[in-house]
Amino acid sequence: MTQEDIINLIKENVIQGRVTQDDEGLDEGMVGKPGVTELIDEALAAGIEVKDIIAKGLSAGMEIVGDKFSSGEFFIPDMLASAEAVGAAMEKLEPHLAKSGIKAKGKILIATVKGDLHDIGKNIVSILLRGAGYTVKDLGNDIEPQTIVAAVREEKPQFLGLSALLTSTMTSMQDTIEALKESGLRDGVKVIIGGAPVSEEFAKSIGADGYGSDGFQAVETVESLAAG
Amino acid sequence: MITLEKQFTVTPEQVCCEMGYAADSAPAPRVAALIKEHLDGAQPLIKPSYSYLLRRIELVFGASVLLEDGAVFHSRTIARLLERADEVAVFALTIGGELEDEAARLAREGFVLQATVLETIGSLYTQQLTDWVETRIEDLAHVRGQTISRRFSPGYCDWDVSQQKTVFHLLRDDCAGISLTDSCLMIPRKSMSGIIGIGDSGITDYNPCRTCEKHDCVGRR
Repeated sequence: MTQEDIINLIKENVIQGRVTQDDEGLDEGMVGKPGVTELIDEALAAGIEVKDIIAKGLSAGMEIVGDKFSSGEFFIPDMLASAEAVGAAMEKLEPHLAKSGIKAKGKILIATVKGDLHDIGKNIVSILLRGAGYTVKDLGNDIEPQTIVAAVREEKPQFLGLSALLTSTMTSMQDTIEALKESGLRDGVKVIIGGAPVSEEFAKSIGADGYGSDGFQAVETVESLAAG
Repeated sequence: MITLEKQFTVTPEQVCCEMGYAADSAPAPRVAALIKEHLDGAQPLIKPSYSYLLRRIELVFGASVLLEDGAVFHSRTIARLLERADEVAVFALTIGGELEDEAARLAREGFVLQATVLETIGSLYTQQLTDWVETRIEDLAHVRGQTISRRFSPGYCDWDVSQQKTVFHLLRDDCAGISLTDSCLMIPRKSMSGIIGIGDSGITDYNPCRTCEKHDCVGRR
């Protein structure tokens, strides 16, 4: 196999959502064929540059997955399977990133705000951001504003993602932003919010920097804020 | 609290529908295999239990409903729902915390798809248990020659979620093993609480969704 073949297979297996050779894919009869983790080993053994594996294999695959999700061809489980495959690949590549001079695109803290226990949406956004090359630190759910402020002070992330599922808890997003202002940390971090009850208008009204209506839009918002 | 031995059944088709698949879209083999695996694995994690009691309605005035022991529901929708009811059934139910603990473990380990599938299965079991408890209350009403209203939970329409405290106060020490957080969410999360009016046939008619303009509401009926 040429280097290009291996990269194309990585891209294809991201789309298929296959982590290992034991996984089924989108198509029948995939079990036994190498999945993303085996292909990463093969790519490294073949001397393919890590940046090409990420850009032409993993990211290119996720881009197609995003398009298919937006067009309605893919559903949430398909998108998650692909994101898991990218997450597994990035874990394998981790030891090689520093050697290759590749840095994470940025650091993101993410949390479900105080009073709210729902974390599926947050988990989906986390895995998509990891797949897009960001370092994500998940603070968990029902997180007090002051705990988030302390984590921002310590971790110095470029981005903070806040999630809430309920109208009764989305107000904690504003409390968190206010707490960041009071602590003098607000200007050093971009705040992105998401969750069923929130909207672009709500994001603006509480002084957030961005809003994501779904996982892919959250990633797009982060990318666009990162680009300035 | 009554712990149920009864087994509920969730099908792969129901899971797919809940996860957003259109009726004519089959999931990818990998997703289908995961759904089957987790449907098999979920059954022993489901520990359904429920509790309910009946309270006489003393007075409905404006946006308030006064019950026999002094508890008051504050909501225009609930007042309208119960204005022709004689009694209200107050209920709480749960499938227990084991399934959501397992889903949380999977999510922590990076298996977000598996965690999401398991959470979805848990939500479907909770819905089935809720329907089953509603049917028990309906059977009870039928025995008395009465019928039931639609069920409502704190957080629906204009009924503030903080009124969970009133619901749980009414249930007192028999809350099916469910506790409330400061923000009135239930633990375990796969739980449901609420009320159902009991009275003569006219109480079945009221459906606030018919006149509500929030067309994207997930609870629209």
